Amino acid sequence: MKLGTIFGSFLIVLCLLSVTHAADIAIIAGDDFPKGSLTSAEVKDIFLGNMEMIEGTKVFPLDQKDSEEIKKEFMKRIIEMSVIWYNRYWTKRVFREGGTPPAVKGTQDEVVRGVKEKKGTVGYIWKDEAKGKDGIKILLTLSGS
Amino acid sequence: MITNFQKKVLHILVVWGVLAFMTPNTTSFSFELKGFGDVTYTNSTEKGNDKDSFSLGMLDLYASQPIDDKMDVFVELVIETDATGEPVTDLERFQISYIVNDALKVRVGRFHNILGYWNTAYHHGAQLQTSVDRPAFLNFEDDGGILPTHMVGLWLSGRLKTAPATVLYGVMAGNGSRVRNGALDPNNASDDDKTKAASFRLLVEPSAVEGLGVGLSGNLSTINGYDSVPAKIMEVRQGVFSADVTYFAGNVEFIGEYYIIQDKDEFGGSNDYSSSAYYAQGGYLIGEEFLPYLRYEKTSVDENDPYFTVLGTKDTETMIGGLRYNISPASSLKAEVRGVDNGTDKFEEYAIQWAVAF
Repeated sequence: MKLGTIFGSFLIVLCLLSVTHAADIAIIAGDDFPKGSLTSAEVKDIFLGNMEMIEGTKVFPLDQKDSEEIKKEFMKRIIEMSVIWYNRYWTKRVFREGGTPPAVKGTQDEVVRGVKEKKGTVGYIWKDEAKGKDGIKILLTLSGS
Repeated sequence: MITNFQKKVLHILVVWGVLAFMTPNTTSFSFELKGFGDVTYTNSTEKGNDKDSFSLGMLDLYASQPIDDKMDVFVELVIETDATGEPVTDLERFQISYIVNDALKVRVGRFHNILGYWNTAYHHGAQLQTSVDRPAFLNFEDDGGILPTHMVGLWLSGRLKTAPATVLYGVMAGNGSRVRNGALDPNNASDDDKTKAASFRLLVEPSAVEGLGVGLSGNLSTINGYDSVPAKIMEVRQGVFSADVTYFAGNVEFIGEYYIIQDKDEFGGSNDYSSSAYYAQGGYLIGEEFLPYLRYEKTSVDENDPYFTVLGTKDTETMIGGLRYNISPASSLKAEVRGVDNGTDKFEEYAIQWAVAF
């Protein structure tokens, strides 16, 4: 293989990786969620357990595994904490006040199923993954740029 | 000694623990048992107590479980050793919660009194607090504490978010404490008189300064004291009022609290007494691992106050310098030097603690 081809392939991979990092994140909920949109401050409050009810409906944040790239991006863009500090925050919070930390799903599809199954559940997925999915609505888009 | 009741509670939790390991977390009946633990080495130059020793801290087990969408249960059980080395099991917290909305949550059970910042934020898990120990005047009732740190009863709380600030409030009503054999007792089983204790807390977090919190708290109660007979030897109407300022932002942390304890003698006379206690603690996180910290604390009690007489409380002034090393998010090593002046003796204490969360 020519050196130029290798270098070109390397650049393409780099570009793809950078596209992944910069991808938009969609905050999603089921069709029956009581609001049509949320602000980034409201999403932060929901995932920190500070907003537990919206218009009489209990809200359930749905998280993703620590190892997932989208979780790191979500933490950076919304929560403004590292994954480690976020986990530490929930340990402290549960120990101080009771309650339960966000449930964790393993895949984007599981998050979609989760928000559809239980009213009030709010999750996050790559925006591209939300396209064409029935029974969900996008409450907020977090731009990757 | 572990009572039969405590043995039963421990037995239940052991069964829970086994079930927690055996039950997949996907079922609606599963729960996660978590805990804290620590081992501490201390060395003191205090006259008559100049020894060094290792001690097991508290093994703290807790679980939180939703009952339905709006209701959940929280339980915390602490196993520790008493002065004789015997294991003691305490049901530290048990609370049933129901959320009406973000502005109103109703809880019943046994809680930490919503008095001040430290007692609200830090419970029995040493891993969560920066320092090795709590400020001495905020020690728990069964550890020489002088303030009612626990309450059995009803707790209303809520959060109101406005543009200029987030306001958190709490109101508690429950059994008042008593003093029995020289130690505070929160009257877990039943109250020893007809009066109920009441507490409040108001915390304001201004939007303009992220990480800043300013709080006011109070506790009103009637406290009776009994000797070993038990015969009543003391009764005071007590008001405890506190103000606190906290700042946690970036690598900086600061906590300061000031308490006024006002007692009115209702047993041997009608005198009023006023005492105070305060501390200030600051730390700076270097990287993610090293956190040097300093704390100054002082307790000044009215020596004629019958409440402090039966508790045997002395004026104390302590300066603490320490270094915390975060081994991981769930484990830390802390080393502390304390200079203590209790009015009759000035001495140093050295402590090293390894604390974990699991």
